[in-house]
Amino acid sequence: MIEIRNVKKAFGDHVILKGVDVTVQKGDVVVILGPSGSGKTTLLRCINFLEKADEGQMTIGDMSVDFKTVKKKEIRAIREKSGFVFQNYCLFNNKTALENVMIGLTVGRKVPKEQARETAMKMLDRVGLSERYDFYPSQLSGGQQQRVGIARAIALNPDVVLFDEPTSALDPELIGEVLEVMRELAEDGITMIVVTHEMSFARDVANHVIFMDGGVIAEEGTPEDIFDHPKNERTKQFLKRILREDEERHQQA
Amino acid sequence: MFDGKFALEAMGQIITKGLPVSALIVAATVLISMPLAFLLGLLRFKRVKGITQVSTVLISFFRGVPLVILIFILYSAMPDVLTKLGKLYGWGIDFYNINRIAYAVFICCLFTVAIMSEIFRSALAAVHANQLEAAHSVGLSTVEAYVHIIIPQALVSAIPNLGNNIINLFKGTALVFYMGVADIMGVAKSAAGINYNYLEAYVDVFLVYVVICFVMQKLFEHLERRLGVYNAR
Repeated sequence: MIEIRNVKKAFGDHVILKGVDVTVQKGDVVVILGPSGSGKTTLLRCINFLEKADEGQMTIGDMSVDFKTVKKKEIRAIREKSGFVFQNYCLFNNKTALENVMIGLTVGRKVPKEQARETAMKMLDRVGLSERYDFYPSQLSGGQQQRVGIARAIALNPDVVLFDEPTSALDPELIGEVLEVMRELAEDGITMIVVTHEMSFARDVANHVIFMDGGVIAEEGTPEDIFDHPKNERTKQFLKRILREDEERHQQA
Repeated sequence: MFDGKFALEAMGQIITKGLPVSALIVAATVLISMPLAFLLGLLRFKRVKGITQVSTVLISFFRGVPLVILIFILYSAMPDVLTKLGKLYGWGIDFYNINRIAYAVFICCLFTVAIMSEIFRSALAAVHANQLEAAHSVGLSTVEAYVHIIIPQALVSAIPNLGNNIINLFKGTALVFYMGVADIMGVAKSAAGINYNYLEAYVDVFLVYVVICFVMQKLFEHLERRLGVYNAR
């Protein structure tokens, strides 16, 4: 129910996305891997219109747009269908955890305050932060902030949640709690597209893995296909390097 | 010898007659300048065409001159220039008879708007760009993001700077007595002129400023703590 066709994006002379097609079904957990510069974050940001793609078409649920001709109103409407979790959490610094989760509902969708508060509390409970409703981001650890970020994204009940390297900015000890929340979301059937370097998550939770390289999709398939039987030479090289780094990092933690 | 009796009497006059005038000038200047400065700072931050270049010139002019020079030049020139313009356009106002406090406030406003608009502009720029992105990602419009997230954070981060400048403004208004305004300095000098008790008068003025600036400092510290409760401790 999410289809992306032929997305192209260049920053000045630098072409980042050279024509990418992605199809995601409801309930899928898609992991996008790839070296830096491969365009995976740009692809994610284009879906949510944090970047404006140059070309291509996208369908989410019942809405279709063309990136070249899309209008502001359409952007606003289709943005409602996707939630975004940032690498650097990007919480609103002047709002408490509860207010962070509520504001998309109260201000963005004119939901009455009491109803928004109930939803927000449920979301924070879901990510294990019932004790932290009234804490400001400056009073929360990185892992807690990211979990608030996740609660904030799912509070709006989007069709898909986009995760941009959600654990890359976290201390190793805090990565686990965030991956655990993401695992539970996946089990609840939330559609997720995740850019990450956490191979264990990709292997255990994803049902579709995409390997991007140089602005195109080099290889894609199930986790078994990609991790155990990679066909593309670049995929093999990347996996070898990443799996080695992953082991070293987890030994340190 | 130090004439303590005169010092005490003069202090009474300074506080009852001069201080209200100084306070009025500062309060009027701040009330008028802050919203204008904020608007200008916001427009310059968003690089609105047409405003940016013109305002850059004006701002560097009014910031680049000490307040006392501004007071001298403008107060000497303004009544003349305005009267000539008045004759040209048929305004019926006698610019020489307007209350000098109004001139003082006007000149201080030019100076203050120039300085404060830069404070607001840099405060807005200091709010992380990711705040706007995050706001968009939860469906807020750019205007909503500015009203609820960005401007509040900018204002709080600007408090120390604004407080500093308001205190400096208060000290700077000590120079409006050159315009003949009966502020703290004006009253002090008049009282001292009778028997040449200038030392006592200046000591009085010094004490008044020290105490009031100290109080203002404490008020701004309190404000910063109250509104900036979300900042890391």
